[in-house]
Amino acid sequence: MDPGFEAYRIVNEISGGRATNFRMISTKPPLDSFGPRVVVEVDADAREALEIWVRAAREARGKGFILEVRWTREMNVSAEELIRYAVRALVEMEIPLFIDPDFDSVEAVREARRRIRGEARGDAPCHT
Amino acid sequence: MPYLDTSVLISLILPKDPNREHAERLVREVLGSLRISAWTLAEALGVLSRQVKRRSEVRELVEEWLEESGIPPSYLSDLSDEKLASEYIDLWMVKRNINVCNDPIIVDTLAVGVHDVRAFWAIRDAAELAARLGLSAADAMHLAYVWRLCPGPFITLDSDFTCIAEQARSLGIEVRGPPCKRDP
Repeated sequence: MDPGFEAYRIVNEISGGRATNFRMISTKPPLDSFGPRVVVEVDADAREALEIWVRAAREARGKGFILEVRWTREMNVSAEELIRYAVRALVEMEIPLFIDPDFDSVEAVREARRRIRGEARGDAPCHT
Repeated sequence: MPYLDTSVLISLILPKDPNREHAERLVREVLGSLRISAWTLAEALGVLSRQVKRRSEVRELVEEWLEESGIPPSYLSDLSDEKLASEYIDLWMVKRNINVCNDPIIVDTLAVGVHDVRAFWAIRDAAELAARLGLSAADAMHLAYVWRLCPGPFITLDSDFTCIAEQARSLGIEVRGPPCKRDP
């Protein structure tokens, strides 16, 4: 299914028919592995739209697009709240904090533990 | 209740981590809600923030969202890698219902020779475990939490821990993870 129409459908269903339009933005590697960004506009204030975003993000997970919402009415959330909503949407869509195909959690933790002793990646130990 | 090593926590957070399936399996095999400690959080935040700094595409995506939503540019410069990592871990923990084994902040004494040194309970226990099991202090901190503060199996993806599973068991600590890879 077309990502734009599918994103619009999800948001429209969750918002009770308040999605007004959508636009698509292409993504560059490595984000393109999640598909294009689809921005759906909702006839709502910021808080309502962001709540809809989080719920819709859950539905959009793994469907081949990155869902975003915009609102037509009042901006009634703080910057702090907006960041939290954005991160909630990331978590719901299972978009990780970073994309690194070579990342290995076990090695990364071991490296961090070695770094304490200055052994990792050739870091010189701290001498005073 | 089971306690997660940092490698397990990070692996569960990152859908594409090569150890994810193994981590999910280990977690499925134990009963009870999952727990971590402030020490797990400290290690995870260090690793994830460092990675976000290196690979900033997702962070840039969040900044773009915020900018398009009318957030002033001055605020965006305050969105540090560690703040983003911290918010992500917090919200992911809420979603997965992961609890924190809180340090009781009880100051105890650590006997060093004839002297008593004031130390938090977890640090005092970590010192004892590091000495008895031959662990680094950082590794011993995790076992200190499951030893007396929050008893339960210690779930790890790091075979260094399973190599000392027998000695840990003699202290009442159950270590679950991949087989020890060290030569006998």
